[in-house]
Amino acid sequence: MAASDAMAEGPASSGASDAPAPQSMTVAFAGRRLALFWMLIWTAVVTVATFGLYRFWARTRVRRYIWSAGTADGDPLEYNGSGLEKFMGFSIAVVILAVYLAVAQILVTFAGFSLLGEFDPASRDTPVVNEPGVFDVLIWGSTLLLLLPAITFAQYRAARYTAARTRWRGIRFAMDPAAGAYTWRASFLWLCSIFTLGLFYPFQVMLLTRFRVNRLSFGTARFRQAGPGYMLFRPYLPLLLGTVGVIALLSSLILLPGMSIQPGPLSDVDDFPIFAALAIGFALTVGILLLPLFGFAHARAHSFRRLMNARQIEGRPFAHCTARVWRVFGYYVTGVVLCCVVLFAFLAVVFGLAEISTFEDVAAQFFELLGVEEAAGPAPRWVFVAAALLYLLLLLTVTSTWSAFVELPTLAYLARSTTILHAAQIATISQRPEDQIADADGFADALDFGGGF
Amino acid sequence: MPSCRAWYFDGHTAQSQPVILVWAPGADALKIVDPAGGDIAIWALSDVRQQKNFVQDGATLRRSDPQDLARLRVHGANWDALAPACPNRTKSDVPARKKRQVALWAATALASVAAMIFFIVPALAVTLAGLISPAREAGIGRMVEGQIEYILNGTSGGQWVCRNPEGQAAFDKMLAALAPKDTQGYTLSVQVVNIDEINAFALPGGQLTFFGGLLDRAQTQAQVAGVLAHEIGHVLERHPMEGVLRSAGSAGIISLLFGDATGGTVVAIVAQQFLNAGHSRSAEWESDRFALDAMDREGVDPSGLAGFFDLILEEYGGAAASDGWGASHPPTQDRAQAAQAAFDPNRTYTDILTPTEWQALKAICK
Ligand SMILES: [Zn+2]
Repeated sequence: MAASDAMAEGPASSGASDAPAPQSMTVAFAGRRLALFWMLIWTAVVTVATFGLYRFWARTRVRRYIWSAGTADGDPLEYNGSGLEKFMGFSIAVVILAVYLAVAQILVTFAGFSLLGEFDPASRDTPVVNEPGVFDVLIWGSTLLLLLPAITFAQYRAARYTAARTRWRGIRFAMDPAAGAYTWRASFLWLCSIFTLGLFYPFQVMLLTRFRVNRLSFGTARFRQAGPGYMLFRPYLPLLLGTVGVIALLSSLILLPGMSIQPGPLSDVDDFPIFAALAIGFALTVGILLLPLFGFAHARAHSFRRLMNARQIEGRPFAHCTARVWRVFGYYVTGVVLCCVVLFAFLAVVFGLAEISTFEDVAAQFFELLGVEEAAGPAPRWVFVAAALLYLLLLLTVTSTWSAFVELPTLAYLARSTTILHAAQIATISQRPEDQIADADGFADALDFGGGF
Repeated sequence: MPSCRAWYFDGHTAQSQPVILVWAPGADALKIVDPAGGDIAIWALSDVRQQKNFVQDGATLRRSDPQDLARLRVHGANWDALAPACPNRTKSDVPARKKRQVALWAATALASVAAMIFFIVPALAVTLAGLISPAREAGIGRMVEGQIEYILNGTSGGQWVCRNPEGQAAFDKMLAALAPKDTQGYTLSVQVVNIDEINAFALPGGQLTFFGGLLDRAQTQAQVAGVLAHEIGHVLERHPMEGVLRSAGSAGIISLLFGDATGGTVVAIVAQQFLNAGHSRSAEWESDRFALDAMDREGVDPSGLAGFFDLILEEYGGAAASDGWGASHPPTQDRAQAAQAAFDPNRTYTDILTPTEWQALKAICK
């Protein structure tokens, strides 16, 4: 266990093990899928029941579980963030973001209005730019421009908070305070990726990873990310190609003249058995997802391997990683099949309970619920509440399934495939003072991109 | 004395050290001993805390002081033996000072959201609305109208408008009579849409929209004239434009609190907000005053406006504040009284429309 290498050079070398001092440490991950799944479901249910308030404590619990599952040389990581400090961080973020978002949204809307053409009510003609679609794009684009700095700022703050709350063998991790420098850099790189339709994305990932890793330390030891800026282009190539493929496939389906929906076939659709439709939908979803899925798996495993092998601590190589793409792809495929099973089984149960067997029934039930067919007035509120809760339940089940049955085994595999080098030197690293981060990951939480763990 | 093996991390270096733990039943001390001899540290058993949500077998132990980063790693059966001797192992230690700090920040967050929604956003909206020309306002109004038609009726391009020519001519006549000579650059127009609810609203730029249900349920011309004059007042005071900008500001805050700052269609939220939020109390009073002046000038019975509040209360009862015109225009007692007070029993009031025209207007959506 943890003792072997430390004893080799420490004063207590008369201990239990007489194996030769290894120069590397094995990394492992001990999380159990079902345990995590139930933890995710249970904490999500409590979160819904408390109108979202419990989410700070929920995330803390899940992180403590995930962190303690990961070990290096048998010694687990420790996460000691708390729900209370996350709640406080969220409050701090709300104070600042409420002002920023409200004022920004008003100014953006006002600026958008100033770009609109004038309108002569007598003519009843609407200038083209007044079409809601055009205006939406305008507003949406400028809102994104305003949000991008907020989001990237929040990302760095959240990463820094997470590092500051992580320990191994009682020694703190930390990230330098550099959210400002990160914000303008990341915003600019994001725009580059958006305007090159994703082609630049691999470079963005590399540059930002390097920025973050170069500011990361374990105790007094500093990490460094070596490797050229184009290092992640190869890992991301299949994803770029896959995305292009799916876009081409979808647009050909839509643009193909014979495929457009005509009134004739539509009436046949009414009698089409709904369970056969579900089966076809299941096959299509899995099929369409396979191509980009391989791209994601390739990008994940391959970039992890390259980044790990080019990472240094105190000027020495940090780790050796042998992660293979196919294992990760396997987890992703299993995960998609599993999530689809959950999704379509859920729909089948709902349709079964509502005694729906054809599309005609779906429409009839729907209109009956909305109170359109009878003059009974709009549907009672509980119908909408029930529908919203059902939707929420489905969403929670699918995301929890993905986290527990895809993310967890992927993490475990990536950990197992990694060996940390120079164990003896790492054991001599000493403690660093504590970082105070009052806003915790509140900005990330308020802007809601705290997906994953 | 019971004892077991463990690993000790001193909190100063990333060194792991094999140790023997020794404790005596009844004594509050956990001795951490080097196997080669010599004490390393002594922890109070009551001070020992256990890492929560721990996956590995056994436990990682710390002391209650969060600044103390010394750790003990105790495996399976050893921890089973030691655990009963640590009475406070699952206790969490949150200082009272921390709790007060959290409460303070939570209150500040609520206060700042409230200040934004009730003071800063409205003030900003008033300032910016003054910078938009009536012709530009009309373009904005047209766009918001498109969204509202889609939300309420599921159609687009004005398919929901009732286009009975006699009814429309009658309504145009009423509008022309009640509108002031100087419309401050606004081109006022009125339309009726085929929705069976008691509702009416003014869009930026001067498009007044009445719901069919309002005309159907109105008992006298004076009631319709009262609402029409009131909505004209809103337009000339720029309230609809302020409303749209205010909705945009609160849409930003709402999406923040519900954690969806990036998703959703902004204009749809703005339109929805615009419908639900209505105008401020002072804006309603301004428009009421404008309506009573216009009715007085044209010799229309001012108690029509008061009668209209009664109509809403009758129709929707206690739900008046949550549906239709009642939501954006709370039918308060004092507003009805103010309208009633303008009624002069010695004066003979007239109607703007002939009985035939009034019937055509009432049946505009039939
Ligand atoms: Zn009003």
